[in-house]
Amino acid sequence: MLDGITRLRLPRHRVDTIAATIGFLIAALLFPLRYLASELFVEAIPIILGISSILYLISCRHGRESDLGYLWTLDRRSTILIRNITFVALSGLASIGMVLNGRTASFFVLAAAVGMLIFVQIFLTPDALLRPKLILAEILVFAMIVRFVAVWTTPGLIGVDMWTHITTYAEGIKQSGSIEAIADSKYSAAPLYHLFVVVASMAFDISLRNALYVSLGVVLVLCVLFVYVTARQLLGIRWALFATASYAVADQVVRWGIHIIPTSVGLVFYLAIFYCVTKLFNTDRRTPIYGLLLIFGLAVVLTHQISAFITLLFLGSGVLAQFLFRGINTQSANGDGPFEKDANLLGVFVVVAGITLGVWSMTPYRSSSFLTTMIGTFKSAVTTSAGFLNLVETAPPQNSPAASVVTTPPQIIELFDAIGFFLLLLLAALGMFVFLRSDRLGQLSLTYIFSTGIMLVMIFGLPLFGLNLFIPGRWYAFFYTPLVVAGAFGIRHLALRFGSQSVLIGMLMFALIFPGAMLISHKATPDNPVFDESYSRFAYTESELAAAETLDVIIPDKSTLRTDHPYRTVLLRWQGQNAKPILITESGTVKTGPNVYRDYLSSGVAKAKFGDGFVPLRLDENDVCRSSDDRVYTNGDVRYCPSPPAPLGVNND
Amino acid sequence: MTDKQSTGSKTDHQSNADLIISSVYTVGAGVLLLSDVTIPVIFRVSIALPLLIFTPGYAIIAAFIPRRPFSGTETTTTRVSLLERIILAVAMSVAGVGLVALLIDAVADISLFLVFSGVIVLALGATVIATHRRTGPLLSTATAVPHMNLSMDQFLTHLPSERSTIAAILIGILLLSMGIGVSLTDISESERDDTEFALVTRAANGSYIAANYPRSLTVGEDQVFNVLIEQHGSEREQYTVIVLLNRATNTKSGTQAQLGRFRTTVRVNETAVTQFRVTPPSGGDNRRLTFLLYRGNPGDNPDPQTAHRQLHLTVDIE
Repeated sequence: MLDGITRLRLPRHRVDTIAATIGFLIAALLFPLRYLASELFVEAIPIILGISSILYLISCRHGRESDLGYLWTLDRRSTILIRNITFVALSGLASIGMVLNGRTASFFVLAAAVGMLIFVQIFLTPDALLRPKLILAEILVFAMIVRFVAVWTTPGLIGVDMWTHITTYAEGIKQSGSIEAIADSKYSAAPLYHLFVVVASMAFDISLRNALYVSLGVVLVLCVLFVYVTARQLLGIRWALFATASYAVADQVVRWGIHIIPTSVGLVFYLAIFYCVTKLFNTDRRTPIYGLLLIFGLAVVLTHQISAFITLLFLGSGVLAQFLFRGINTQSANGDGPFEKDANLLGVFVVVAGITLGVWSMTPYRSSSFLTTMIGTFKSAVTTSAGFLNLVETAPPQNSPAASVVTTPPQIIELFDAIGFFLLLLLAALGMFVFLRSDRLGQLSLTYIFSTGIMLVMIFGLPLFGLNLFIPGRWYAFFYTPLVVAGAFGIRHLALRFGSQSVLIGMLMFALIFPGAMLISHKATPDNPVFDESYSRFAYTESELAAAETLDVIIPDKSTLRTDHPYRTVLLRWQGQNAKPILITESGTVKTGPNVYRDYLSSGVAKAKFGDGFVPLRLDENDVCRSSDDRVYTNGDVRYCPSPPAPLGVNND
Repeated sequence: MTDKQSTGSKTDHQSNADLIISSVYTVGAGVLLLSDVTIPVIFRVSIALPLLIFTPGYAIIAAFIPRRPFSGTETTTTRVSLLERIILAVAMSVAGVGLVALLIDAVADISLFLVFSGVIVLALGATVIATHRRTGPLLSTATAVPHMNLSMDQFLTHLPSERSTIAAILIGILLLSMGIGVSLTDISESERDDTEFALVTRAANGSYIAANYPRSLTVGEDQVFNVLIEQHGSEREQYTVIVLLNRATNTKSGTQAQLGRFRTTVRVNETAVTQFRVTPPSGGDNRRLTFLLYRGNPGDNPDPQTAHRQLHLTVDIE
């Protein structure tokens, strides 16, 4: 393989191969970071970049893309058999989810199998039998089952922020009939999500929770079609379906389809804008598309601040690409490459940016405006906490007594958890090199590259310097949008360039690993993590919710109580309790309460406060509710244990 | 009328069928949902959902992108397909409904009547614009957006022709039905413990709170304690509460004296608060009062370890 690279003769002005070479060099430069920080992504991303660069450089030696089309396909009988099995398996998946009352290990095994069957159909169905409507229907039904089994079998709400958005904000708007109910919140200037849920609740005459899932839950499944119609502008049916299926099972996309908050709706509008920008380069009638861009741009600004910021970065990437290639009309060897036109995005960007800044300057946030607060926070973060490899460390020192109660996921579990993302990143990096080929290089391809690069920096680069104020975890689903399109280009490139059994095996391995890996990732399973000894559950049993309601009734107002995170957020956000996190002392013991203990603490993973941060841990009942404490409430799963007042024999520490 | 014009007129008549359907649905569903007609929830959801996430957006998208191009030639790769229109309509509906509600909030309280009225006006306005922009002769039949196909024959031709696939779909539906049936049986319901048990005191405003417990008792004198039981089972439940007095907070040491017991019946989703008088027979500091909750009648000397629920309170007895 090394000989193959050294013998490679690079054609002149091959931007793509130059970029791949630079990519390999960057990977080599970043590789030593693994010795400075033990973060999985710091270790893995240089390797992925290196592998994709090498793969691309090797693929460049294998001549032009085949004009014969796709080479490996199943016969008719096998194609129909796999399709039929998929339909039956989808029903079986829904049934298992309902019978077992949740997304259990069995559910995920079958889900992984169904995902594999869908990808196998995409890869290996002959062109004549490839029916995009059927496969899209399979993808949508699959996505619906994966999400709705979670929400319908989980009491209450899933996640943390939903409790505030639904039980406080939306409920307040519904009761008062006005967004004045949330006048002090930043969402008073971004209320579209809340208003829609309230209207849906009134229209359906059901609770806010159920209205949310029935309306926006369906929308978030359907929005994966934006990936298809976008990719279809640029690619054939097969690869557009690949991008769509990848997006539908992606962990962070599933996450926002289960934990439905303004970020989710912002994602819908971002996908619409992503499609519209791509459409600009594939239509003669641009005026209507500009109109749609402005409306969706306004909608995202009025929905969610981070989504609006990401959208602006995407549009800004388009403007940057526009100025770089203004007036250049790159022609492919055949004269009709899909990326050859340019489009003026400056006007849209200026208008949307203007609306954004205007709205943010009037958005109340932390006793000032959102714009002012964020600028100040950024300046403060840069001057005080920023520093290379200044990663946030909250765990107690390894040899301290407190470390004995802390539980962290083993690295092998972290790897399993992230392997789906790494596979996608590998293919996307390949696709980015494909974008740089002379027959594809243009404003649109550069828009994709710039936006991906910027989001990569925001998600992984800034946190390396201790800058987390942009909440990088919210960016992934947006980041996945250009990734899956680029990934489709990448895998297509491999399939057509290599044309060997090894690529076929690679594609089948992808089909086997990717959907299952993505679906069992802890981000996609907040309701019931597969690796439940490593990651917290962000859903609650009926007992835990009943306890929260009763404790709100019997605990006097303003009394402080302590419990684990995230259960504390339910008491705080839903019931308005003065709930604080359990405190872990330097000696590794739990500080005296009154504490609320739930059985989940001894079997799952929750968080408690240690120093200035939170640490994941597991605690027994005796650690939280000591024998010297009173126990004045129990429902079998949850206990409330105040300490008796001194001098009734209680050691207060 | 020229052939081209007659062709255009014929296509115009067919081409607005989608807008007519979406408008009629929008108005009809809106009126029905706003009326006093009692509609079962499942039907109400089925009727309202397209109104919220599709029909208004479809009209708006049609107003922006009618079927007729402004410029001359438009290749098939640049038209807006039905699938694109559908998904754009979904996103636009969410935006439209939200924006209408926001505008209404600026002038009045948000009510379903006002929001639906606004959505209907928006959809009808968009429909009028779309219809107007669609009129005029077609420049090329190749530029037409695919019709919404109302013909059952044509619909059936888009179904998979392989019988085995149809059979697979039917098997799938059967499996799904079985799954729904089994899940509705709710086998696990009876295994849940749904009893909440708490010690409370009466606050000044008459409510019961988990605070301000009596901590100083006197030998031979009665002290009232309030015991709260809330049950979420499927049928009324009979409980027995037994109160023990331990020597120290460590229940494993010292003797336990049974101070008394009472029985109570609690209905489903009911909260019962029972007053119980405790008369301590002996004194001492740092004593533990233990309240044991049993289902039914546990007998004269039940094992505390078998109690359904257990609470305890530390007291001093003089």
